[in-house]
Parts: sequence; structure tokens; C-alpha cells
Amino acid sequence: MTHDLDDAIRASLRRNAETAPTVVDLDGVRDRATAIGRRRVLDASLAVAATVIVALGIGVLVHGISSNQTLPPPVNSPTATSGPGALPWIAYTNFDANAQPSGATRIQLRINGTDRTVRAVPGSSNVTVIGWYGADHQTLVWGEGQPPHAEQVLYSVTVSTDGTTLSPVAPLQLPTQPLTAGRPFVGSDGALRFWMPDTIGSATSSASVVTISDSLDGASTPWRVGPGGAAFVTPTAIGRVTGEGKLFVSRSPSDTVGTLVPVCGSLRAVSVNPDGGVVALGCSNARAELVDLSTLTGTRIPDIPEVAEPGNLLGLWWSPDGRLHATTNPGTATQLTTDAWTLSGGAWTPSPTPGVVTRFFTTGAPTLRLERLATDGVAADNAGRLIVETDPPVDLGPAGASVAVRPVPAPAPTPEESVSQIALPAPPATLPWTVWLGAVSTSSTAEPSTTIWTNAGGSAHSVFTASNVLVVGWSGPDRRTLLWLVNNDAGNPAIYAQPFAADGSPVGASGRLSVPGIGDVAGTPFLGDDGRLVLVRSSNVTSAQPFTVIRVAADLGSATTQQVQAGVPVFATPEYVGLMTTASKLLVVGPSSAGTWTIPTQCYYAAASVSPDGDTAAFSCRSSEVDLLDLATVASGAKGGVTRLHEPATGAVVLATWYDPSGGLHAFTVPQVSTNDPRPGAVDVATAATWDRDGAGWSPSHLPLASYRWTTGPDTSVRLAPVTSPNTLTSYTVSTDSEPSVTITTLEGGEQPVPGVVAVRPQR
Amino acid sequence: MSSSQPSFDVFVAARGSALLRHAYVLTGDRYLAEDLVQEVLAHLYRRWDKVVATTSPEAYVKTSVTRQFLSWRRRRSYAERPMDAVPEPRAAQGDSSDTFAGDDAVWRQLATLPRRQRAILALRFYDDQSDAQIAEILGISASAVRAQASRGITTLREQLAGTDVSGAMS
Repeated sequence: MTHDLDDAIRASLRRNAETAPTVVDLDGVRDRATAIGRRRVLDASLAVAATVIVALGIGVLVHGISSNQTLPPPVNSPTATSGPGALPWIAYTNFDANAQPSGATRIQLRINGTDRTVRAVPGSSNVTVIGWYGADHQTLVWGEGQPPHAEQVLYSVTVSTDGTTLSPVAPLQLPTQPLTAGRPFVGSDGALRFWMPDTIGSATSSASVVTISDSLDGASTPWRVGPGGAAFVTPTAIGRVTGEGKLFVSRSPSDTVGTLVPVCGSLRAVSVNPDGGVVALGCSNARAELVDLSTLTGTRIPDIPEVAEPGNLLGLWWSPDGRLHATTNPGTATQLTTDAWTLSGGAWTPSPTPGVVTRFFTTGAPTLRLERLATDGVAADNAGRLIVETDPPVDLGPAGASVAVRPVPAPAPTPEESVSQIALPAPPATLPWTVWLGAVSTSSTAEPSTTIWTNAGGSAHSVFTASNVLVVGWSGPDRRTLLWLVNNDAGNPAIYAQPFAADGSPVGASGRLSVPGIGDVAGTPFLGDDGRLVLVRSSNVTSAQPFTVIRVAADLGSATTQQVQAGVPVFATPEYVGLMTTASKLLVVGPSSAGTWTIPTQCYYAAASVSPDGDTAAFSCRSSEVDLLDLATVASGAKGGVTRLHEPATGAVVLATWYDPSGGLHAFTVPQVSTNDPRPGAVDVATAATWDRDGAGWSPSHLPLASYRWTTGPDTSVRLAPVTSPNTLTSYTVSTDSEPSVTITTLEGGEQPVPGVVAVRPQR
Repeated sequence: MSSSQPSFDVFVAARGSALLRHAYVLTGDRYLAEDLVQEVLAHLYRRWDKVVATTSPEAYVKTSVTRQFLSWRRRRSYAERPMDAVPEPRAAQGDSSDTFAGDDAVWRQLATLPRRQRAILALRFYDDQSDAQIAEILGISASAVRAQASRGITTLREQLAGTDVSGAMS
């Protein structure tokens, strides 16, 4: 039998391989390659609405606590001349080991592809580029200091609009505030704050902290703090560490002493999260904790790997999605080898690029990634490379400790309709609970994993990680239970659940959704607008065995079952289930009867949406036709009950339909470019169109973008679905590339990049 | 990119059908096979010079196709139901050849295996790759290849119990 089976497999594969497609669509390949390139260019043009300051932990560690400065928000500069396609101005430091007598740290500018040295500071000085400020963000500010003191003197240079001429380099002076030496911090609000100790070089001196205006023409009234070194500075809180290693946090300019906050041990790294509300503390004993700056309460998090002796903690940092990362040095040898870790799912997991110190900074849609490869790690000044990931990537070569990218204005969009024409409701106070998927790279021996993320509770956090995960949606009482599935390829998807409390905190641990009388449920899920879950479970024995429909109650506390004929489920409601039993037959099963509709043409890619009242299904099959099925009629076995709508436009192929909450039907079409298109992942969004049902036909849709949403699946397929909270989400940017991404723009003006499926909890 | 274009076109013209067959035995789905090959080629198009510099461009592309297939997150959305797996016997569509009944059963059951197992069996029985070669392609150990292959064959044997597969070899 063994050899028979081997031979049978071989013969089957080879025989069927002969029926494979034979011609690769070269034009399609080129179009796709072009789309990939175009997307990268688009990203590059957008990727710049920010000033980024990076102070790598290794360099700062020399001076004590590794303090990460968080990302400034995007800044638009309407009068700057750089076009959207131009590369941003980049300033960075670079150590020149050959400079006499003992090397020099150079401050470099890369403008329009040309490098220029602004200044060379002898020795391996403590030099950090801070950011671009002043009119049109054309003035670069940096700090210079001499070890072992951490304090720096601020310098500036102004670049002409065309990028060719520089003003003389000079110490930064403000008309309203004398600046001595200190430590710069750039907060989540983009402002530059300067910590100036009364006694330079003393870690136990009291200090003044000022906020320097973006225009560099003044500073705030100094915020006085007591004796100690700078730990962190945010717009609303200042942390200092005393000589005894105690952390005091001041939260108002009148509070010079501050509040004592217990720390995990000997503090080695500090990092403030992107919204400035939480500070992460890492200690030399590998312990770590998060301190809520509004309540000053600490929460211990898992110990940082490798940091227990003889390892070292080199730095902590947050990525914009709210994830915390750590860089460690596993040994005490002079040769620095570094590992990176990410706190995910309650545990530290290795970075996708072990051995690489990586920090991510995202401003809106694009990602600006800075990598510092510590391949040799001999010295902090010349180890590795800094790469700014624009298109093309900007390789800064062996670089020092910092880089700053000048904001480039994004092109002002031309509104298609005035604000007065689209009456948008008032924005809600908070974003709805949204869930999305993020890829997790694993070792090559494991299946790629996906992490489910949610912002329930106010900050992004992971819920679950596994391979082959898809989000089902929000169900249960008050729609506060998140459902997802784990697909095991061969069998029915297993359904998982995580309930959340009203404040967004998880209730208990996530696990399989279990229903009394049935146990753990599995099957193809359909979640209705009312939150009721219906599952179609196939037989695992043979495909001819009956399927089971499991109708779960709205509170997820009970369910009923029904045996139905085997088929491929197309839609399911609490009343009706649609199954394709052959390529031309749709079986509609009702509560007490079933009927078959014979589709006029062979259908291999069926899609359907169900009206909000559950009475009608709009059926399409990758053609120009949309059929409306009166479900009660079809399920009764009676003739008729199907209405065919006129084609939306000549040559248009309906890829999806959806109902809005009031029962209006809409369609999404793409041009038919070949017999194989449109396929998931091959949709040219630019040529797509949306339509509103207009009687027996369609009319071009004039709905604002908020009336529907795109989602990309965890794969590259494009899906459409009704927006569950249109009053919150105003626009979506979707890439159908091989790296799907979704960016949500909220009415509040924020942008949230979401790397995968989105499910928004309905607002009550 | 222009300098690499003729080479790319010639390669696709010459080996495109082989790539599609390779992708088809991996996916078991004609459209997914086309999509998979197109996606991989679109990415390699931008750096084709580096591909042709390898010892065997075809092996490189096939490895890319295999790895992309394994890393592909599920492509079938729950809004659309690809109907390749319609539970309808082929004989009912007018295929009168009983000879291929067992063969079809093998093909159908292969499609139900987890992707890694399916890929390993495809590489072993269609591409005649050794376990060591498969291990290199997949980036796993040879023992893992053997274990996965054994698991897949065991599953097939259980699923095909009572089915005459001898006809498949004719």
C-alpha cells in the first residue's frame, strides 16, 4: 500500500499538473511590479511629514540612563518648496576615524542626494542632531558635548530654501531665554525641551527645563526640578533620578520635588510611549515596569531577556503601534553583540531581525525605519549603518548616534466636495474599539504567525498570536466580545473569543468559544450586523456528509443546530443559509424548508451580501450581473424569487456588493481586463468604481468615502463591507500590494496605520 | 530594470509554464497558481539581475514560489467562496472515466493537507527532490521534512482507506 500510495500521489500530481495554466501574463507581472514600485514612491512622498530624532541607546548609555525620545507628530510646512516626490533633507552624524589626531564626529547633511559636512567636532564627542525647526523647518539644531558630561550645548545652522547655502554655524541663542548646557528631549508633541542643570557635570544638581518654540524665537518659563539627573521629559511630566537612584516625577511647574515612584532596581533605560502617558523603566537586574504618568502607578512586566548578569540592557523604545522593544547585549565582552526583543502577548519575543538594533518611526501612513546594524560593535561611533527607508532607501553608511529628517509638506488634497456638502456628524470622544492584524515573523522552521491587536481600553495591545488567524468581529452582550478564528487548513476553523469589560480591559483569558450543549464551536463564521454568529460546519469525514449550521445566540450563551446538505457556504443569517452545491446551483436553506436556485452561468467565485432585514441576498459571481434573491421565496422551493439588476456599466465586473444600514445596495466594480481578472490582489483601485442601486439598475455613487470601508484580508484580497461606525472613520487608504496595509483617518485628524483586517466595534 | 527585461521575458516565456505547474501542484487551484507565480515574478522583476546571477535562476524562482506559498496568508476571503472544492463528483459532470476516480481522490485529499505537508509531498513526488533538497528549500531540517511527509502520507492513507488508487498509476 505504501508504494502504491507513493506512486498514486506521483501520478496524480503529474497528471493534474498537465492541466495547470500554461501562460504567465507578462503584462500582469509588469503591472504588478509597477504597482509595487509606485506604492513605494507614494510612501516616500508621504513619508516625511515628521521630524525624527533618534538617540541610540548605546551612545547614550555611556552617560547613564538610556532615554529614548519619542516621535514628534507630523508637521506640515505649507510654504516649503520641496515637492512631494523629493527626498527629505536628512541630517546625521558620522564618525570619521581617520581625522587627525583622534577622529572626528561630523554633522552631515544629505540634501537632494548631495552630502555636505556642516561641522566636524574633534574626537568621539557627544554629538546629537535634534531636528529641523525655524521658518519652514530649515534650521537644523544639534547638541555638542564632551564626555563624560551628558550635557550638550545647542548649535544651529539655517539652510536656504533651495538647499544650497548654509548660514554660519553658531550656538543657538534665544532672545527671551539664555541657554547654557543641558540635555535635549523631543516629545510626542514635537517640541524641543531642554534640561539645564544649575551645575554642569553634576548628576545631583537641580535644574531648569524650558520648552523652546518651534520658531526658535523664545522659550517657556523654566520648570524647576530638584536635584538629580534627567530621566525623561514629556509635555506634562518630568522625571529625575537622584544620586541614590530614586525616581521622582513632577507633573506641574510648581511641583519642584515631585512624587517618589518606586522603580525596579538600578535604572538603566527609560522610554516614554508615543502618547506620553506611560513610561517604561528597565533595570540592570532585568526587571522592567510600566508607570502610568497620570496615576504614577507601576505595573511590572516580564523580565527583559539576557539582562540578568552578565547581560546588559542597552535601551528601550516604543513603536507607534504601542509595542515596547528592548535592545540587549548578552555578554560583557568589549565586542558588542546586540539582540532586539519585542513585548508581545505578555512575553518578550526575539526581534524579526536579531542582532540588529532597529527602531521604527511611523508618521501617518508611511514607515520611516532606521536600522543600526551592530555587526562589529567595536565602538558605538562606527558600528553598523543607519538606513532611512524611503524610496530609494537612504543608506547613511557607518554612522554615529543620531539622524533627523526635515519635514516635507504633503500635497494639499483637492477636496471633491466642500465640507458644507457633506454633513459629517460630530466626532465621538474616543475611537471605537478597532481590531487589526499584524504579521509576526518567526523562525524559518515555523509557520508565519499573526497577532490580533486592538485599541480597546485606549491603547494598542495584542490579544492573540497564532498562524492562520482571521478576525470575525464583535459579538456577545453589548458587542464586547471579540471573535476570531484559527484556520487549520484541513478542518473547520476553530472559533476563539475574548470578552472585554466596558472600559476595554480584557475579562479573563482568551480561549475557544464554547457553547453549552455543543462545546467548542468550529466552522465557517458569518457575523450579522446585529452581532449574531452563524457557523457552517462541514463534515471532516467525507465531503458528501451533511453540514451543520450552528446558530449562536446574541449573548453567545446558547446555540441551535441544523443539518444541511453539503456545499460551499456563501452566506448565512440566523434564518437562511446559502450553499453552492455545484457550480450552477445555490441551495438556500430556511428554517423549515430548502430550495435550489439554478444559476444561469457556471459560478466559481460566488459572493453575496444580505440586506439588514435579512430578507434579501445580493448575489454576484465575478460578472456584470447582480441577482437579488428573495430568500423566503427561494427557500420555499417556489419558482422565481430572483431579480436581476441591469449591468452597472459596459465591461464592469462586480467584485462585491454591500448593504448600508438603511438597506441601500452598493456595488464595487473593476474593469474586466482578462478572463482571469479581477482576482484578489490584482485590483487596480484607480480604475475601480462604486455604484448605488437605482431601481432596476445602478447609478454612480456619490457617497462620501465614510459610507463604506475597504478592508484587505490577511492576504492581499480586497473586500468591502459596511462601515459600522461611519461617524468616526472618514477615510481609508488601502494597498493591494503584497504587503497589504490600511490607514484609517479619523475625524479627530489622527491617522492610524493598520496592517491588515479591520473590525470596528459598533458604537451604541 | 530595462537591461534585465529581455532576460526576464525570455525566462518567463521559456519556463513560465513549468512555474505554473509547480505552483499548481502546490496550491491545487489554477487561479491561485497564476496569482502566486505572478506575485513572485513581480517582486523578482525589480531585481532580476540578481536572480540571473544565481547558479540556477529557475531553482531560485521555484524556491521563491514555494516559500511564498508557505508564507502566504490565506488568500480566500470569507466574502468570496472559491468553488474549486464544490462537493460534486467529477463523474457527475460527465467525466466517464472511472479509471481516474482514485486519482482524483488523491488530488482532492492532497488539497486538504496542511500547506507545509502538501508542499513537501509535491516537492518529493512531483519535483523528485530529495529530503535534503526539500529541507534546504523550506529552510527546515531533513528530519522535519521526513516527519512532515510521513504525517501527510499517513493522513492520506487514512482518508483514502477503501479507495482504489491503483488506477491513478495508469
